[in-house]
Formats: sequence, C-alpha cells, structure tokens
Amino acid sequence: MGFNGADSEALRDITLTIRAGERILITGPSGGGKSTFVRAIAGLLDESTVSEFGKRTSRATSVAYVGQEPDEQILFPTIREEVAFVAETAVADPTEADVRIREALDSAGVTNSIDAHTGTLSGGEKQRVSIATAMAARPDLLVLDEPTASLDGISMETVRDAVHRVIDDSDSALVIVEHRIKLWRKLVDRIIVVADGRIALDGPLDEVLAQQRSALVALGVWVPGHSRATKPKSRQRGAKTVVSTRRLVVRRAEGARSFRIPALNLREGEAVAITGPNGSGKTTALRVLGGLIAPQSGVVDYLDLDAQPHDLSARDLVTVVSSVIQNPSYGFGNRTVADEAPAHERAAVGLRGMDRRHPQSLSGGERRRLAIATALARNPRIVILDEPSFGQDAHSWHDLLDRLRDFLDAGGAIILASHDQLLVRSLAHRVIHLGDSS
Amino acid sequence: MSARRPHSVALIVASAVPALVVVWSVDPWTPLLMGIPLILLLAVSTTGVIARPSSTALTVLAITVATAGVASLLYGIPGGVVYLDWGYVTVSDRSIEIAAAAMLRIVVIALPAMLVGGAISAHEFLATCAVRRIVPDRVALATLIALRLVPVIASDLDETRQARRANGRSASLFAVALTTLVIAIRRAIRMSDVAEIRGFSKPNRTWSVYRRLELRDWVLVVGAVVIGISAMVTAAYLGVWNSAIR
Repeated sequence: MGFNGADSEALRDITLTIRAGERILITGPSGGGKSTFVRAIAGLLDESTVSEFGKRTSRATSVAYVGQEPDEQILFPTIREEVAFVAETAVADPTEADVRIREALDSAGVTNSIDAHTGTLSGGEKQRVSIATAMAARPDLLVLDEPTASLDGISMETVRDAVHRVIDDSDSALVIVEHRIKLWRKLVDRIIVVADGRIALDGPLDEVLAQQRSALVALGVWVPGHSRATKPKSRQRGAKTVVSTRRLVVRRAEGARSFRIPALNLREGEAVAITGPNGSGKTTALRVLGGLIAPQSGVVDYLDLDAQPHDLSARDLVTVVSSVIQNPSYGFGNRTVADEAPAHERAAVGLRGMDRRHPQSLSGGERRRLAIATALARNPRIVILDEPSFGQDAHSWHDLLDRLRDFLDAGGAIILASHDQLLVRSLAHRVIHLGDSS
Repeated sequence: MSARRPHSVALIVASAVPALVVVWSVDPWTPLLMGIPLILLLAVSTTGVIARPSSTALTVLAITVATAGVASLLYGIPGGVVYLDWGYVTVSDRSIEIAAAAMLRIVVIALPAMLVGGAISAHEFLATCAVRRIVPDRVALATLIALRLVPVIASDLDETRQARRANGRSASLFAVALTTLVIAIRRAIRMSDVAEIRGFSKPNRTWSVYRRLELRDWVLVVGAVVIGISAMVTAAYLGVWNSAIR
C-alpha cells in the first residue's frame, strides 16, 4: 500500500509504504494525528478532506479495521451475526462462511457462546470479537487503532494475545496505533512516530528504540523503561475528613449486579485509587461517590453536608464534588474548547492553541484533559476521575499529574479509578482494590 | 441454533394471524374460538425450545386486560338490559359483551406473541427476506444494526443524564434527548465507516443463517391460518359473528 502527499487539517506531507506481512506500530503525542493517519491507511478518510495532491494506492484486496471504542466496533446483536457479516461477504458458499466464522473466533480466542448477545460482553470480549470479525475476511492488512485503550491489564493482554494469534495464523500486514510500546514490542518490527501531522520517525523498532531514544522521549513517546513512578507527597497531618462511606453497596441499575465497596475515609490533600479488573464495579462506585446515582444501600458522608450526594441538586453537587466520567463526550455542553474551561486550566493540562475547536473534534486524550480542566475550574473540594490517563502521551500524562498534584496541595481530594499503575503509584496515597466477587 | 426451533418466518406469520382476524370482528366469540386452539398449537410447536413468558410479562398482560375490561364495562355503549346507571357509568348487556370482547382480543393477540417471541430470530427472518428478495440486503443488514443500537442508545441516555449532573446542568428531557441524539448521530457515522469497510455495500453476499421452511413450519403456518378462518366461519354459522366493518 502506498500513501503520499495527503493533506488535511491533521496530516501533512505523509509518504508511507506498507509491505505485505509487515507489522507496524504507530505512536506519538496525543492529538498528533495518529488516528487520522490510520483512518487514511484504512481508506476511511472522506475524499473531500484529502487534497488533490493526496493519493492512496493500494494493492491490498481487503483491509480490516478495528477502532478504539468497543461499542462502536460491534454492529450486530449476537456474536454469530457480527462475524457472519464479514464472512458472508467474503465467500460464496454459506457452509464455507460457517467455517470461516468458527476459525476466526477460535483464532481470536473468543470462548463465548456463538449466540451470545454482544451487549452482554465485556470491553475486552467485544474487542476480541471485533478482531475475529476483521480476520474473517482474511484481510491483506489489519489496522488497529488503540484496541486496548479502555481495558484493564488482563483484558489488554488477552487482546494482545488474540492479535498475536490472528497475525501469526495469517499473512496479513498489521498496523497498530498504541501508546504502550512495551505491550506490543514482541509483535511489531517497525515503528512510526506521528507528531504534528507528520511522520517524525520511521524505522525498525529495536533500532529506533536504541538510537533515537532521546528523540522519542522529546516527542512524548512512552519509551519502555524510561518513565518511573514518583511517590505522591505525604498528606498533611490532621487534615479534615472530606468524605467517608459506611456499608456501601452499589449497583448500576435496578436488577444489575451489586458490589460491596470497602469503607472509605478521605481527607483533604489525599488521593485514593480504586483499582480492579473490568466489571469489578469501579465505575459504579465512582458514580455513587460522585452523587450521580443513588447507592443500593449504605451511606456516603460529604464534609458537613446533611444530605446524601445523590439527593443534592446538580448545581449544589458540583460545588462539593466534580466528576469526570469515563467518556467525557457525554458531558460537553459548549461549542468551543474556550467556552468549556478557562485558559489557565486548559494550559495547565497542556491544551493550547485549540480555543476555537469544538470539544468533540479533539482526540480522545485531549477530550479527557479538557473534561478534567472543566471539572477543576469549578474549584470543588473533591474530584472524581474515571480512567483520567487514557490516550495520554508521556508529556500530557505528566502535565495531568502535575495539575492533579497541585489540586491536592491546595487541599483538594481525589478519588480515581484507573488501570494505569504508573498513575496510581504516582498520585494515590491509598489503593482500594475491588475483586471479582460481588 | 437449535434444530427443533420452528422457522422464524413461520412463527411470525402464525402469531400474526389473530391480529388479522380480530380486525374483522368485535364479538367475544371469534377470539375465543380462535385463541384456544391457536395458543395450543404455538405452545406445542415451541415446547422445549424457549422459556415460557415470565410472571412479570403475564402480570403486565393481566393488568392491561383488566384495565381494558373495566373501562369497556363501565363506559361501553349501553344496550339491552341495564344493570347499573350512575352518571357516565352504565353497565348493560351490551357493555358486558364489549368488555368481554376487548379482553379476549387483547389476550388472543398478546399471548401468542409472548409465547413465541423468545424463539423468533430477527437475523433468520431478515436473512429469509433478503434471500427471497423481499427486501434488499442493505435494508436487512441496517435493520439488524438498528436492533443492536437500541440498548446502546438507552445506555447513552443514562450516560448523558449523569454527565450533565456531573457538570452541574439540569437533566431535562429535552436537553438529554438532544445530547443523546448528537452522540448517536456521531456514533452512527463512525459505525457506518466500520460497516462499509467490512463490506456493507458489497453485492452478492451469502446468508449463512438462511434455511428453507421445513414441512413442520408449513404445518404451523397453514394450521394457524386454518384455525383463524375456521373461527370466523364457525362464529358466522353460530350467528355470533359481529363484523367490525359496517
């Protein structure tokens, strides 16, 4: 596949050739154009956004694509329908389609019933089904855009292993966008760093890591072995308790699974991390602690408030606690980034030069930082963050960490849920681990 | 998919027969004459294949039937002997007959659908429609994708409501619906890209779930139609047929 001279808002002067069977990792700073780049490779860019000089030539008979958000990759109500959709376009004989479906599911390590409803799958299971679906066409090129972005460590490894197997079982070339070089290091042989809409570095992975280490670090790439956790500052002695819980049991909705949350006692200047695998109740616990939904039972005591947080009006709630949910897109209410958060808060989390852009047009990592800047701008006593470091490069990650530490220094308190162990070790004074048991 | 499960097309046609019959009649006897054998036929056809309707679903049906019955009994057009006359409320021979007909019509339409609902595969039904060229492939695929999106959009509504609260904004129905609509459209655009790259527009697709109707499926369809027609003829023969079309 050849790709040269394309020009859009996000990409400029890109020339790239992908050879059959090649395995390429694309990385780079948040908002640098990686996702746009792979969408161009996959042939998903709207023609009107590519200049007349841009040209994508492909000898690949088929290209398969799996994006970041598990729910957007799954199109059909059951696993069979999902994989069959691709298999049935690839072959003329329905019996052969059935064989393809089975082979693709086996190769991607999907162990669920073939008639299972896709809505009941976890994020990791959805991504494995999406990879199986992609491979059912036996593509010449498989394009993956951060397929593990929203997954816990174990799910990440199962998806990585699924990609390993399907690529080893086929002759397909692989292009994968990822911040975590370490996770994919054994699978890929070439690295491309995209920054500011251009290819900044391109070469064999081991060679680039050995010879361009400082350049990679300067570009904000997560270089394996480079980033170390720095311990959080000790909290102030005798600080006031801002939130505590008693006998808290939470559930997402009536009839949903219940989770018992260990007692929490959070003081000013303190951060506590809630960790655990996907589906262990972290997000639900944060929603209850943030007053967004009521607990099934138990009590959440906030400062000197008499009322439970879920009983407060939305306006009163945000003066005490400000939550940033996992997908910040649901919360943006303004047309421009500048209207969403003040300049000093945006600058503090590394969001510069994008004042007039629509919040929904930002990259995943940028949207998350904007939502955090918006939450902090309200000057609440407590901030609740659900996976705040998704999609962050090393620079923006450190910007975020510094801003959150400043918030703690000023007497704020933080409750976060995160799969990012580096962030947890760098920010949290305590960790509450939620297991599988309800 | 279980080999014992009747074809979805057969189940849909058989469970639609009552609705087509009761359109023509407002008497209580036709739904009764049709309902008993038809429900038995559907119950036998799906035995061991699907779970029976839940107690919650049956409770909802009972409440709906009772509400329709009481309303028709008290406010139905009066006629014949009047048993109670109090303001707007009149209970008479005619209103008793209307109430019985209303209750039986609801039961005879809802119960068959509840019996077979769990055994119907939308995929199989749409695949049959596509293979038989009743609808284009793209329409069948788009309908399946729309079915998948129903719970996703329901979840979007919850997420939007909570995100607005987290940002100190009111969760008015209009604001939540508008935000959800914008998010659903944006997602639909991204999902259409995914669908397109996976071959949504490719011609000559095969449908692996497609299967022909077997003999027992035809027996179910023909049996349901015969039961419907027999009920109408019998009601007319007994002189209890009350046509809805004047």
